[in-house]
Amino acid sequence: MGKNLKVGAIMISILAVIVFIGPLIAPYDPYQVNMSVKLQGVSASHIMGTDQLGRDLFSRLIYATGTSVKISLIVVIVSMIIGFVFGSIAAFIGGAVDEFLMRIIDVFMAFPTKIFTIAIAGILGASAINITIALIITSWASYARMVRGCVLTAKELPFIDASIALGANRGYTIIRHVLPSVFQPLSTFAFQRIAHTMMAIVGLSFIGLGVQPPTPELGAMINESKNFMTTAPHLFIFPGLLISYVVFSFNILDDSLRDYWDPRIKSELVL
Amino acid sequence: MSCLIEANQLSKVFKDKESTVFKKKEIIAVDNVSLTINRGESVGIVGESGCGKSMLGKMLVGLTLPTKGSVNYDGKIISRLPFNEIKKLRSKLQPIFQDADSTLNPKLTVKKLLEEPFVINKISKGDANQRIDELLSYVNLGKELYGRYPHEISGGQRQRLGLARALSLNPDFIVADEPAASLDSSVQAQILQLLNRMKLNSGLGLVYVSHNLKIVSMMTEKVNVMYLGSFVETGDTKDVFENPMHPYTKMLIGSVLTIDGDKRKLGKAKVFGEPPDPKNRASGCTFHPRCDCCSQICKEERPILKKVGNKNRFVACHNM
Repeated sequence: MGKNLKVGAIMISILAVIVFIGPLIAPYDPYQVNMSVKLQGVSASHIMGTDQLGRDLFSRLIYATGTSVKISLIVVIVSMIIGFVFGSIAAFIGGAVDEFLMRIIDVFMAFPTKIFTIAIAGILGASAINITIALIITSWASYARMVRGCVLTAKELPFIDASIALGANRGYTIIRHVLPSVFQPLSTFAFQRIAHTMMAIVGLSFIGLGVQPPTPELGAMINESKNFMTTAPHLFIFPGLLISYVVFSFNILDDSLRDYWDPRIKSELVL
Repeated sequence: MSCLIEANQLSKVFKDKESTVFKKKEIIAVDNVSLTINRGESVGIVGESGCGKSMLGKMLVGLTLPTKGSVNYDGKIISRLPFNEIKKLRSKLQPIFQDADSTLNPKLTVKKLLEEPFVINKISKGDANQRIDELLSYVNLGKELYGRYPHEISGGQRQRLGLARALSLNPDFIVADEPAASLDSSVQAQILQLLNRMKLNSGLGLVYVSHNLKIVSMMTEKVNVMYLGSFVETGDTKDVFENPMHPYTKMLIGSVLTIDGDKRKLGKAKVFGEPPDPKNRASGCTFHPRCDCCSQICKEERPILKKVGNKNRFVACHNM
């Protein structure tokens, strides 16, 4: 394994622990209000301090990371599936079907993410589900376009011909040769998009269009903290650091996985 | 000798990308070519780059369907069979590809690549392994390569791996498209001897598609000279190389460099002109802009293959 891959894997493992095991070890209920300890700094009983309502920041951060990461994973996985289906149908069938599907994709590509999400929030109301839907609608088209491109390239590769010459049927060449060549760029792309989506969710929640308080969410928490910026800076420093951590760990993993999955580069890495 | 592959008036036409609704442009890659290959016979196809040799080879093994004409194998017209039917015959008709690198999936190991033909044709593991051992000794590759990826072995090894894959299903007919292009002379000789042995022992029909005249003259009994999609001269190899008749054949054979430099075989025939552009074909005889004995009829009328002499020799030229 390359050095980056190790770092990325460790960082993602820590993140997974926070998201999945964190709620079990969180010292307090993230919704429990206790006005007697509001806006406290770092202490032994509250290791990251408390917010304006006296809720334990550490517990809230654990839940908040879970919310953000889960939404971005759902968005990425669902758009990947939709994009994969659309893209491969377009590429395999080709002709008029391809042309038709690509025009639909063009329409979706033309939606500006932020404005579209604002519109969805305006029509359906701001909530975690609506932001998920809005992000899926604005992002699946780029997956579809990418898959289509990969399939079209892979379909014409000489080793597909070689395989057909040996008596393979289309199903075999698709499963054995075409899809593996699509899988790798698609998953790298998806990994890259996790960080992007994460930033979008945090950003939209920050401006109040995404996850609504009191549900803990990193962007929403930073938004809530803005009134106490000078008196209680830990309220935005910790969520901010956590956002950077999550985005960085997905990015570094994406980068190193791309190298790892390509056997041509793999041999050059220090294993 | 029975007839193995028979190609009747094959043509392959591509639509040019520049063509519009109003003006149809076509690229004629292969134009009205007929050819027969018998069991245990090897036939050469020679010509310049881009003259349609490889496309013809692909049509002969059924990888590309001809626009017009038909290919018969074993009494079946393979160019008109549905995909599933051709599939059953594929193992008997094998191409050896020009570019071995790109015909090997870079994500599979050498072992997986060698097993692929057997997996596709559902042959049991035991039989497959036995056959793979046999093949590896044929093409002189060792088992230590098993775990490597195609980019980790040398070009010659890749070429031999491609050959092993083509031979693995005991084909009846092989189209070898530049089979020895990236090999050094000693390995080249091994590969060619191997193909020759298979031809003699198991009655394999072979087509050598090559611009390497040396190999073709050594390995084949019959040769077809191709120019811009169609044959300009066909005949027995020895005959054609000793006494080329068509001006293009003369030019081609004259261009072969010999080891003692100046003494080219037919020093008089000089190569001139550019390789032709299939989009802008010359009228009449397609070769006339480059021909040194071109007359008025050459510019107007297209010559057809005519029998010349009493041997099995056909030439498409007005000046015979």
